[in-house]
Amino acid sequence: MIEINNLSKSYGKKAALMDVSLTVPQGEILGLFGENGAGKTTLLKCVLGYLKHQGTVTLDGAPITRQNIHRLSFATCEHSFFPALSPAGHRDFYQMHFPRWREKRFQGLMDFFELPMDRPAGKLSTGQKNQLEVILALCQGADYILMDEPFAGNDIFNREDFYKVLLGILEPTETVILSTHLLEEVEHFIGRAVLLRQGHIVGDVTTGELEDSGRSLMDYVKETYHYRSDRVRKALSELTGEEEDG
Amino acid sequence: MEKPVKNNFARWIEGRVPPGLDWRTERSWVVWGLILGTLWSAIVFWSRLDNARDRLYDWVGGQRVLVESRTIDPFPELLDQAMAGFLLGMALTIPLACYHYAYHYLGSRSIYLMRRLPDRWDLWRRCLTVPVLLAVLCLVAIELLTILHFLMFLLLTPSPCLPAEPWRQLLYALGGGRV
Repeated sequence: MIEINNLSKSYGKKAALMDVSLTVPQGEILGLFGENGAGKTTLLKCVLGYLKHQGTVTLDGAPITRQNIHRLSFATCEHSFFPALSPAGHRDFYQMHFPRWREKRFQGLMDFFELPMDRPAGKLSTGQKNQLEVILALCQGADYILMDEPFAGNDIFNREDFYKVLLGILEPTETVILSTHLLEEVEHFIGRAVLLRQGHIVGDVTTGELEDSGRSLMDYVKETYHYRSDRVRKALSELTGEEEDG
Repeated sequence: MEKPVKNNFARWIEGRVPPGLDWRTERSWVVWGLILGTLWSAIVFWSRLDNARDRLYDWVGGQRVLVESRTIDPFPELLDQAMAGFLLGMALTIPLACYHYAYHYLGSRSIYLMRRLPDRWDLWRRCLTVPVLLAVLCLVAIELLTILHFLMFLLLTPSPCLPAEPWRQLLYALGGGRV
């Protein structure tokens, strides 16, 4: 279980996260949503220890250190692979550092997405780079797989494939924290949605609760964000100088 | 496709440069740097030694005659600037280490992966091994060439014109002293 307690992070005077507390049990697929700048990426980077922060993050009660960091993997739209290294080279590198590397899963996913094993990662297409990034995170052998907008640049068919494959291959003990804007796409993939806004958690709901209440994830997000559907019409009226009908 | 068989050195060095970086290119730079540094050192030292030896002679009646009362310039003085190439090589280890670190930000953010490896030293090992090796090689080259140049100095200087305790000058030069 990942436990985040009173986590705060500022960039200079700008607060990115304020007093965030969150518990993620093992085996959960959690979607992390929020507008740009809400703090999603910052939250993931704080969990991984990339950013200095206030508050605590623990993994099964212990702080995240070099002793247990192998239980976390990370796929990011910024990409964390080595551009000059081929997928085969990455496999060797991961095997050297992560003893729980999932070779069978790696081979299966590489074949499924038809990625070339010997071409440098930097020379793959944007979609293929994302695929490799996610494949590496899935095959590291981690219990907690953190993903930050991993499909940015992939087409819809590709993303659909990924969701299906993910649901098919994930073991019950594997946990996914997926930060994305693609609400509707991941709605049927996740089990829980956490909404961030201006550095605060403003919503936390399971998809089961949503189903029971007859709402979609999008409805929940709009409701939680107090989305004003007439905002666009008003703005357009002001811009074009047209009178509002009332 | 079969993997090419790697020798022990290749395996060793691949674990000590940033992943994907072509260590063979850096090895070429290092080898060429050492060759050029050695050539520079030889040219500078031997031209100085030649000039110093010339000053031991006078022309008398159209003949070159050794003036035995003269003493050749001190060995460390002849060595001045001769090791500049290696000193430059040692100075370049700092930007090289910086480049190895910056490599993890080029084209991706592989620094994220390096920073979450269970082996906390892997990043530093990969950034610093080649620069440290280069510095050590430069240092060894300086000391070896100093000894080699000293042997030339002893062999090519007429005995009466050698300083009283030439070995002290060698030790002084090996310690980094120049004049």
